[in-house]
Amino acid sequence: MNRKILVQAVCCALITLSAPISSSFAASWTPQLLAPSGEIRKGSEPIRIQILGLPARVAKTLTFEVDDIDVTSVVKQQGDVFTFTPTQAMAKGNHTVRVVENAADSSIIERGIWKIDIRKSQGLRESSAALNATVTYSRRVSDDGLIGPDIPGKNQGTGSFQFSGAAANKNWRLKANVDVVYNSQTDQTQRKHAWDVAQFLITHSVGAVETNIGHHAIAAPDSLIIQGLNRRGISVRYHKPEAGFNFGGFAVSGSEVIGATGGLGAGNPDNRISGLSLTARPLRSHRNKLEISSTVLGGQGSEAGDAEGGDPTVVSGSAVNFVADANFLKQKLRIRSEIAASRFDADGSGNALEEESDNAHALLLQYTPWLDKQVKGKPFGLQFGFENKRLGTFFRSMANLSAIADKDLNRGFFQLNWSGFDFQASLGKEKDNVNDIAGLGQAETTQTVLNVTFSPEQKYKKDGSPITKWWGQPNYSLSYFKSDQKVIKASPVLALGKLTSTSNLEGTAAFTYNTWDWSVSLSQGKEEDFTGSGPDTETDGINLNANFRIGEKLTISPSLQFSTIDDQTTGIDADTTVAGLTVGYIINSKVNTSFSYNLNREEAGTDGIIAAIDRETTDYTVAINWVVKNPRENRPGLTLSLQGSRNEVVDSIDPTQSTDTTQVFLTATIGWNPRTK
Amino acid sequence: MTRLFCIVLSLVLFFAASFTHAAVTGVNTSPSSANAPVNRSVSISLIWLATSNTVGTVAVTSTQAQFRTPAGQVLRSSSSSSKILSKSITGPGVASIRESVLVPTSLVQRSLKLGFNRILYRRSFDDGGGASNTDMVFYFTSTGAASFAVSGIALRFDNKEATQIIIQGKKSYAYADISVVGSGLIKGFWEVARPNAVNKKGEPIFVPIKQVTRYIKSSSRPMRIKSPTLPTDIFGQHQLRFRIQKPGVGFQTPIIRYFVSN
Repeated sequence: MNRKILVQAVCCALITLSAPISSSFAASWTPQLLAPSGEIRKGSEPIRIQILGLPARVAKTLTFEVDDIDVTSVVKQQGDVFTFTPTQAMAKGNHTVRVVENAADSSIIERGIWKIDIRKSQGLRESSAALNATVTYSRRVSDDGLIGPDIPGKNQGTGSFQFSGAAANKNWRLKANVDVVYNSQTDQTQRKHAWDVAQFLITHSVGAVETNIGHHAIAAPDSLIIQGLNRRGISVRYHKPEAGFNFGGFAVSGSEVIGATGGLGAGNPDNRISGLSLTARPLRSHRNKLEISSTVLGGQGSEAGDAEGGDPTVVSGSAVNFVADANFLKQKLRIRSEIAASRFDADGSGNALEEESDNAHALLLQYTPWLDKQVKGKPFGLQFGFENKRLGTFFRSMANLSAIADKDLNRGFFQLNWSGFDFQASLGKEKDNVNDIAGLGQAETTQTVLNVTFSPEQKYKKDGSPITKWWGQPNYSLSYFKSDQKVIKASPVLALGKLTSTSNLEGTAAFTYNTWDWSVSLSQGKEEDFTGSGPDTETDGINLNANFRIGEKLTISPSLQFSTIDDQTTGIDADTTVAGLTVGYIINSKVNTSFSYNLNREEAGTDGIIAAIDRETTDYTVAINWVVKNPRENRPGLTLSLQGSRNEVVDSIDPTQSTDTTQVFLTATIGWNPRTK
Repeated sequence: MTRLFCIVLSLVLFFAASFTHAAVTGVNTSPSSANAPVNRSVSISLIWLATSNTVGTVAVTSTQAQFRTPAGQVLRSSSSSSKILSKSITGPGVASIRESVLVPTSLVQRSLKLGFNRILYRRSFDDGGGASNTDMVFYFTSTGAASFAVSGIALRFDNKEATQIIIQGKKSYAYADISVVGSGLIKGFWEVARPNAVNKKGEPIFVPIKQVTRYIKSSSRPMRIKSPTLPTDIFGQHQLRFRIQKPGVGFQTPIIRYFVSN
């Protein structure tokens, strides 16, 4: 053979053999996700990917990702199999595994992507149950002569039990939380029952549909007719967060319900609010530019409930609103507008009064000139705006009973923040008697509000530990408001002119250290009544609080409040002092003690009609606790305690009101936290 | 002559005894009137001043309260135990009794619809020898010009619920949402009754842990007052309330309960 031809052939063969194999292998190789060892894939199960015949050079260019996190550094290769072993069990549910090749030409080639389902069992993707139980038995061993039919028995049992559970499979999920409480002294309970349900919530979701039964917040945006409605009841909603769409219905108790006798919260027609709510972001390509919402609701209830004080009269009514909330100028300008209407019966349906119809509207303009602006390397924020809110005199919603209507408000506001400094100011003018009811007159209120806070930036050393000056890491705040009222339309009882003037100034400084903190606040207020029907008053107050941790064993928390109210009309002062001290000391890992002291002192003179006050109440509580056994998972713990308390009331004006009580208790507390995995 | 003298003397003594018959001779209120809004129920404090000419220790009592229109129509009459007012004095003297009246908006609106600009709250006081009454007048005004008064209060824990189980040592707090009309000074106390703490009457002993003194005005949102960190050093049921001392409230102070667990 011709030597030249032979050399050329050998060179061609060598060139062919030395060419990047990936470029020829690239078109053909596909990784395979190997099946789990058992019927299901569990959280700690290694993820194994097989790539047959993969050259070593190509293996070095691969990137392995789990849920978009690069885990290549912990992937081990054994032959054709690449194994990722989770350092801790992966959460139940769907996860994404991906293999990517970083090609020589800098391109990224996705070689394989898989969805894996981490499950608890064949039947359920996940399930769990837990209990947090505390049961206390106490016996009064000394009671300073407490005898009589109204005195509780010497023995008392109390307990709290928090059950929680969850299960999920495919596209559904079920969660349940129930709190049950026990108190053998039924006079101290809400419903005079020893056992009772404190609160509960069961949530079931299937795809985009979610059902809630129990105590929960209704998924309707806050508005003129609904504000933070959190009650016991039932709600169902269809929810697509990626589309900004939420549609749901609800039926909840009108006023808060506590205890098992309240049922599901929606069974009593005299104490029930039901409604529908819709929220949508209709601009598909610009979801954040516009949100519209509407709620319609109605029902019966009262202002008095298990946790509310007010008029117990059962009232009824219905309300509807429509809201449009839009952003313009690349989200620098926000315009929110709302219209609402209500029909409200102040003595409930079917009684002497008819329903009163009324309406309301609100307009908010908010402008932020710069987004993501920095000044000297620190974020700078500036915002100003205008608000108009008009609520008719009889406008009222069953889902917002506490709101005070009868306002026509115009308000301008301004906010600036930079480098830990935040400044807010607002100026508003408000008129009442919006419906111009004859004979009521009309008042106008001008209100100014200023708030300033300053939190200097925390500085750190090179090792990451905070640099703290001798005065600690401070936080300062100052707030001021002034409100001036005048009558602008007279009535038989209101003369034109000034009505009242109120102002309040409060400043707070708080300082934080590594193991302790303290704060002081001062306040001063003043009110003038220009009609002579109420007193002119001035107040001064000071609050001191601190919390010290000394070493590993001792904590001390003192507090002191002093306020004085000076009645300028009668010349009488009323002084109040509230002081407290709590000390905790850990003797060793098994024994700890606590001591608390509270003082309340009130003094006020008399004007001949209102009696004088000179009264002091002191309260001491001491406890020593022996932790016999700490509760461990699925094993109960036991703590024995000796507690003493003394309460003294000294009334210098009416000595018959003076009293003192001393009691000593022995208690045993069992804590238990079993849970399934 | 002597016989005529005796007859005249008897008549004089008879009429003198009638005029000096022991009784409550007059009742006043302080203040004499207050302003109430037409769209909210409010609590307004007043002091009844009942004058008794009875000599010696006497109980001056009122067992019934009425809301009336100026024309005399009784809108509501209540004689429940919560409406009984009583005070022992050494007469002759004045019994000074404080009351916080809940003025229901339903009755205000009924009186307004009947064409009146006020509603009357009447009490009759008796010392066992005779009664006298008077009316406290609540004039209707616009909401902002109403006398400073509390309309309602709602208590919740930081989990937004009315009960809570708190793990010992965990920092938790509660808040009180207070609705008011008018503007003025509010003074109140956060108070906690620890487990087992009862006085000689068997009532829980509520200990003040924070005092709040603040000027506030009515707003479309209630004023939120936050409690201090709740004590958790002792296991068991604690009772918590925000007792409003000034202005007085005409409804029962709500109490919420929390349990300290291990």
